[in-house]
Amino acid sequence: MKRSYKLGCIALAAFFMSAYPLVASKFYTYMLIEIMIFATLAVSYFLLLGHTGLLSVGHAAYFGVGVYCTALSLIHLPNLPVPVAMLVGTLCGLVAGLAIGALLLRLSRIYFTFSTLAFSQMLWAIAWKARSVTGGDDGLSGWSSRQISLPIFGSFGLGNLTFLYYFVAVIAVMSIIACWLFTRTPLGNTLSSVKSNMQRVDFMGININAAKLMVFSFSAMIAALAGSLFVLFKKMASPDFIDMFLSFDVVVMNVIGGYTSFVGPIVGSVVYVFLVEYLSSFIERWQLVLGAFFVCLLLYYPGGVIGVFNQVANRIVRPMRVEE
Amino acid sequence: MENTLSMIPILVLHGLVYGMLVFLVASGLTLVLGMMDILNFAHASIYMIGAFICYQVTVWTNNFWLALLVAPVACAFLGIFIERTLIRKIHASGHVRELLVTFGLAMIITELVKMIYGTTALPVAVPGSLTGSVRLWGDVRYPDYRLFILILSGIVLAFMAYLLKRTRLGVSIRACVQDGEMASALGTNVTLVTATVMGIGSWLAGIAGVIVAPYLSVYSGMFADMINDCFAVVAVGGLGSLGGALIAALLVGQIQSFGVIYLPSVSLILIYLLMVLVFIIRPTGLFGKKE
Repeated sequence: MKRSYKLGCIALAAFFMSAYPLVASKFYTYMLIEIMIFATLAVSYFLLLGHTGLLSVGHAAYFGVGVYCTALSLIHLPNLPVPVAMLVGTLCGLVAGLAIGALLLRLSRIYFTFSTLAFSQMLWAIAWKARSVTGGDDGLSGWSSRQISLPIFGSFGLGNLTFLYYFVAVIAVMSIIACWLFTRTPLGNTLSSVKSNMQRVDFMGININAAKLMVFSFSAMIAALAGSLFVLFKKMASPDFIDMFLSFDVVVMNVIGGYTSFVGPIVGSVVYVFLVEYLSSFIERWQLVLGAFFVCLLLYYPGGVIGVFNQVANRIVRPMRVEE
Repeated sequence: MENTLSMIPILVLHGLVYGMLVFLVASGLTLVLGMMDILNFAHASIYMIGAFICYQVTVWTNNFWLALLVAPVACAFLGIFIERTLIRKIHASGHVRELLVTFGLAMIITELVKMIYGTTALPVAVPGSLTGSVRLWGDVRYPDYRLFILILSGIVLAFMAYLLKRTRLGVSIRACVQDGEMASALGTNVTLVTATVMGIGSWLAGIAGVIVAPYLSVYSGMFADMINDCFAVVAVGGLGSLGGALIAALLVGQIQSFGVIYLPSVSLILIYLLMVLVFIIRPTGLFGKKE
């Protein structure tokens, strides 16, 4: 693709994103906020599965750590500015990722997958059982009237949807770009070679476990950041935000979009949120349809939406090139 | 004080019952894992289906024993069907997709169950001949049905041990777990053995589903409840090791039954703590193969 064409696309997307809440209804603004948060989460998961080839089935754990740590600091420290509370949540996610990663990454493939599930379930059990701290299944709430004050723009309430949209958009886009840059660093290259041939990377004298630990904790941190955004958006925290099924949803988003390319999880989260929204309004058991869709995609179109798009594009573009 | 002391044997028995149930489900999982390197998420769904078939059969015929015969066989066929159609088809394309497919399958089965039976817990009556209780000593009594679970799972365990150690099929299975390629080169029909193991594993999961039905009732969350303990057992015991799974299952059972009484606030976490402990000491589980 030509450089100017690429820049044009980016400018168009930026224009669309910034004009969106002024045009769209409240419902669709809500939806796009949700999509952006899930896209951040899905991209952070892409770093593990798509980029490094680490299959984790407990990614909700770090999202949940972000949710609960941000919520707790919002509740117990009323004078703490909201962005600092988000930072606390994000750093807690980083610490959780470092601790769990240090323990799990030395395990071999299937053991690793097992244990990621176990750890996320352990954190879920804590959120569910430690009623005095986390509120159990009632969850936490009580910060819907908090204000976010920014240096130039002044202060806004969390109830202000348009403001919340821009706030989430800036942070989500920035963290997705951070993830993309991460894949472009030498460390990112090392990790993608770990995916294709781990033994060979090992023979080259690279410390694989250290590299994996870095991507694992970075991914956990981005997931926790998405969690802290989600707390501001939903204005509550509940064990649903940390349970097994959210981990599965993250995997589903990656598979729908196609977990082999960076754009995949973003497209996947868009499709996922739309599917859930529309299926659940038409069919009572929408999860069944979603599950069947998921399995069919895996069986017949493992590349996901992006894979299908590339196939179609190749078919259209190739004949044109021949004519030239 | 005397009260708590006399509770201990009861708790040990409770733990044994639960441990054996988890073992029945986990044994199939660990065998298939050791053999085909497949982490079959849908295995716990088969256990749930066994329980629901049991519910359906008892509703229609009011006969628990018939359910105990029919449901595990149906589960075995379902397991073989899943292996033949889905897992085999995708086996060549790598671990990630394989795991994701079985996971999607588990999702579909859970939703189907919710669609047909709703989300409330459905009771299954304990069969008439087992409703009483046995006097152990003094005035300590223990329900017949739980003892029946213990005895039945003991019989199944003995049968499995016989099958694996004393029959030709058992030799083939153990050979395939150890080194599938070599076993195939020496003339074992690995495809057939794999399907058989999948069938036996699903049959065991079906038995567990049936006998758990009167004990814990039948509900759509059974999958999620079982899969954690089951995975913990397989991982702690070591992939592919049946003996390891047995020991881990008994450990998990005891932790569960004592944890709920003595440490109720952290009981859910204890099993994961056990996992962490084992992984720190032995990264491949208690009896796992070194990679």
